[in-house]
Amino acid sequence: MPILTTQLNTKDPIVVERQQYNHNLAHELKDKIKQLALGGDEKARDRHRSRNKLLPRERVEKLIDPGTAFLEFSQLAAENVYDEQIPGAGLITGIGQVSGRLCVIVANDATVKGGTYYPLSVKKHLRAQTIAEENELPCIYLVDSGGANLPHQAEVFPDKDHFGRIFFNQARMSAKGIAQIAVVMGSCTAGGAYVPAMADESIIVKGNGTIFLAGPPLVKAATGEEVSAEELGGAHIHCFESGVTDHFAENDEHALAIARNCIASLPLPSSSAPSQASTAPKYCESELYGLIPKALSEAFNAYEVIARIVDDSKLHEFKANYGQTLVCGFAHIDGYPVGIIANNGILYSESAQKGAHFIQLCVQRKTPLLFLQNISGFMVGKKYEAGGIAKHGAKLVTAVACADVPKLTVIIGGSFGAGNYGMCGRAYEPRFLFAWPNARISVMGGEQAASVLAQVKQEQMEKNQQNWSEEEIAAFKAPIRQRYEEEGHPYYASARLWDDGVIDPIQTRDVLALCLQVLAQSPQKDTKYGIFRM
Amino acid sequence: MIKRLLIANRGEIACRIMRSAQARGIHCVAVYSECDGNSLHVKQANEAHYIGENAAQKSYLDISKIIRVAQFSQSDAIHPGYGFLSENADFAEACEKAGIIFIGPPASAMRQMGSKIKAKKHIAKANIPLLEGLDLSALSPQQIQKKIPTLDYPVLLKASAGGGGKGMRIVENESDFQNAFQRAQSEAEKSFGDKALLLEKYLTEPRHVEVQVFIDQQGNGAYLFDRDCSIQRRHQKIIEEAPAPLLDETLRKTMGECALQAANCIHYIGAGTIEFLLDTDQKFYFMEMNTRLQVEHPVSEFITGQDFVAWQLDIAEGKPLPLQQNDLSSRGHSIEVRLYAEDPQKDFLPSTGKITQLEFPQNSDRVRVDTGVCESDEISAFYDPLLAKIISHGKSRKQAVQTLLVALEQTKVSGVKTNLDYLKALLRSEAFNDVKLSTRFLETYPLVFTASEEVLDTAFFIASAVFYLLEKGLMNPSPWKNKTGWRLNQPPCFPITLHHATPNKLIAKSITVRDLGQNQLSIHHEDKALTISASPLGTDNNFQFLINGKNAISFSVFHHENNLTLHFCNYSLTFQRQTLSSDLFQQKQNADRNFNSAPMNGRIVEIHCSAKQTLCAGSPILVMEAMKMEHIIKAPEAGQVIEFHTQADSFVEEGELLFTFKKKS
Repeated sequence: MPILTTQLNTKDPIVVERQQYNHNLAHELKDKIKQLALGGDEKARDRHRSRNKLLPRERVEKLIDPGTAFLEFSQLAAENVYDEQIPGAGLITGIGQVSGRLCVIVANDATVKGGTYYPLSVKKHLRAQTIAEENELPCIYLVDSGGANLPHQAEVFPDKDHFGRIFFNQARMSAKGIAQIAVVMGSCTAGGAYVPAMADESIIVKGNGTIFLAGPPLVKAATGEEVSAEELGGAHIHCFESGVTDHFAENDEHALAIARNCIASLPLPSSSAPSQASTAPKYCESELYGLIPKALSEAFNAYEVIARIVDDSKLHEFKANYGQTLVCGFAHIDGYPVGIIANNGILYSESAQKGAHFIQLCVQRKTPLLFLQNISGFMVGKKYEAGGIAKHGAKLVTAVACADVPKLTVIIGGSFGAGNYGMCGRAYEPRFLFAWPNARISVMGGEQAASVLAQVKQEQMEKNQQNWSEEEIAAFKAPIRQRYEEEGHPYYASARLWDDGVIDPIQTRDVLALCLQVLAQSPQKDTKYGIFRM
Repeated sequence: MIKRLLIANRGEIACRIMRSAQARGIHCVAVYSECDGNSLHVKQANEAHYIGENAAQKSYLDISKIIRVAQFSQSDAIHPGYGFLSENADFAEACEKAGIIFIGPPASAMRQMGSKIKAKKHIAKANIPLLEGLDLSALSPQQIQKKIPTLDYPVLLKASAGGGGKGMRIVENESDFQNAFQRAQSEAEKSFGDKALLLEKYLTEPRHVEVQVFIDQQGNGAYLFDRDCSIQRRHQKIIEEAPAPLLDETLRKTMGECALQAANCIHYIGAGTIEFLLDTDQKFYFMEMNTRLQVEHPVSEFITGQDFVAWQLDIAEGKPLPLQQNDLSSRGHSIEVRLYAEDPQKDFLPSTGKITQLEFPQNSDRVRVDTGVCESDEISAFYDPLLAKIISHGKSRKQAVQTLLVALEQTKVSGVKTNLDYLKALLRSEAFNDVKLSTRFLETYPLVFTASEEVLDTAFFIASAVFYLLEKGLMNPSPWKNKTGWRLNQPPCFPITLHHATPNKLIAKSITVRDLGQNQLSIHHEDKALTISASPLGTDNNFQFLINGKNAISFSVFHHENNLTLHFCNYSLTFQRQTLSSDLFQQKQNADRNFNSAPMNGRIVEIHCSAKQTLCAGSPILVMEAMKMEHIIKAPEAGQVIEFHTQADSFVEEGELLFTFKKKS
């Protein structure tokens, strides 16, 4: 396979400037994550510890196999969404290796609003379950939650993708043979009680774990019965009398050890070893910083990105000379084969057709697809509409939608309009979707949106024979641009679970390798396409 | 000419003897007990014979078996080494009877020196200075009683038949005498089957200086200079050196000649050692004679350049001494340490187990290692736990100390506890370097050889970092394992729980290592933190760390499964990595179950103990019968039944309280 060459001159002042700029972006991101990783404030954490409980992150660290990787999801969930700060939406989710098997871990963080579920907490929990279900990964729930956040009940309780879906998913996954293990390490009240109750196996910690449909205050209000939480739904009751839980744990560590034993008793997944040995890229991953322009209006070379992600910087390119604004080719990441589709400019009819063809190749060969999104959209104009760009774009969208090989998407730049569809945006169910800190996502760019809206308004004013000065137009456009900038920001997107996380560009290869391993062990499906408009 | 030589010994000395014998073209026959079948002396021998069970009485001390093997293997000589049968006159006689050369003195000489009382009588005749001694076995209890107030205290009581400190008592004053006397007597009887005691003046700060002699069958003798073996613990030598330091040449010569004279007066033949006590006023007194090759002979070999086993073989073959006294000279200084499998932190208790790592320095003209063990050998409780003797030679004592310290740095043992750190601390101690030698050295200058809390704290951090680096260095096809401690948008995080056992307690710490990239590690434990910049892993698990940007250290490690030994700051510290396991909790839970209530409906068949009776864990308390099955209820841990709520033959219901139990507090 040919090795990609690089034109990147690390001494070029523009590159040096970009290097610094993007390094800072990554640094900001890591600082933010570091802060969010603490969970609740110091007081809450101290109170948590004083109850002889491990912090949720410590629980996860102890649960996974020592020294292994942990791929966390939705680190920025709920960031700046609510009036109060809810770090990580009050839970930690991710994939980790437990007793040699990859599992999805969902851990409530009781130091954040008692671990109660805000709307985005539910969304984050459900997303983790979706990842588990799609990839057939056992689920471990480290439960320590007061249940639904009551002030937000209307956005948490009633709808299809609300609280009830958690248990629906548990039941359906269990039916598919995807193990559901619950570890009750704190409260597990009302609806929350169904997490351990619906689990295949459940563990409860003496003294701290409680499960009941109604807590002592509600019981007293309803029946006048006075009872302590431990008497009502403690470990002893549920392990020795009710049978709601199966394993009695002395403390958090013991509970985690039992959870590890539960997972150890599951059958091992089919081999997911890489097809060849991993080789580092020829070019340093940290040079990605020097590649990414400060403004999205500037293009950047997709080959340079690929060269810093794939094994040995080798790409077997498909149709290199045709539809050149879409780079397609086969490569390996950490030894795992992958078909890459990367934007290298605006989508034209040829590039869309080339992409659809390449997707068919990957489906035929059961090779996972990786989309590197940096797209402002399909080409517009009379010539192109007449050339049928809509139907050619539809071919690409059909192929992406129907391809039942696992798909991965990384938004490395812009993600605008129909380009988002053709390049496997969230709606196209990539197994995992990540964004770089420089990315922007919206129906169109802020400038275009402001111009379109200004033009519409200007036409209206002209009809009414009103005047609109240049200053007024600028004043009209500025807040629109501002709003698009804000809402198109990857933090804004990630806070709302439109992706699985914002990642430091230089970790892209690592993240993809971990994902590809997950995909390699998940079962393969056959693809059936819809009608391709010819 | 000796053609076939049986070595009636094991371990390093058997190997050492074979080395010299095989160099002369002698066919060497080894003997071995059950657990020694794979040991080094067996591998090194030209042939080897099994001689019985592990207990020395049934193998290495069984005279008839050894003679039979010697005959069967057509050996024409037997070398007894040291210990075991080396000073057993009956054995020497049995060899003679069987027509086999015994490499050692005649039985008669052995008998004369074997009893300290008899030895002193002979020595006294030869006008060799003796401590004023008194044979108490010749006195009646009344006579002894009379003597007590007249003695020049402190005095020493010792078993006439003994050695190795057994049956020895120092009596500081008159009032302690009676008690010490009785205890020494009973110990002497128990150890040697002879309760005869000797009494002599006790020197408060004497040195133990001994002289090596050789006498051939023609009666020509030579002394091969002296050794100082003052540093002893519980009368066991740990460090020996030659020549004895701070002796003026006249004294050295006088002692040498006296030693030769002592040997001659009992018509001694072969290699022997005359032990003297040297008082602070430079007066010396005969103590005893050892009629064998000593453990510490290599230091004398180093300074004389001679092979003492070769000398022994020459003498046994009837040849004259290879060199006359005038041809002998002493060159430089040599020091030996004895590396034992023992725990200096637990009163030098022998440490048994499998040696998982064993590394020694290369032999050279300045360093010599005599050993009889290899990696993966098992150190059993049956024999002396000597792992090796490490000997150095230098132009001066100072140089010999330095060389030996370097050699000890290159020595690595894991799997069993050793006195290695202790020896290093000893060689480094001011008192040793200032030649403050006396048999009371260790009492006078107690050694600090355990790591301070501060060193230990740092070692915990370092061990965590090493575990991380070792794991990171492992190649694994799964990216989940290969990316050690990988975290999204965060530096790799490697949490680890380590245990380290000190003499008093087990220390457990949960530590987190974060990899900041560029070989920078940040290590946290509670509110303490340390940064380490680690230079890339070299060969042989050697590391170089720069701690907090200031202190550079280099050290080596030994890694075996979950155990990591750091050879660090003059200490060898072992850390054990703990993995989360439910076992410990499970045991506790099993113990906590309501064991004292009836597990089912049934009949009490029998009650095994009475109330208030002390029980150990697992003792049966009562037997129940249900569904034709007997069920024994046992004490979960030590304690006692306070009260029974049931009796034999009564029927009980499930959950019924049978008795109340109180744990031993």
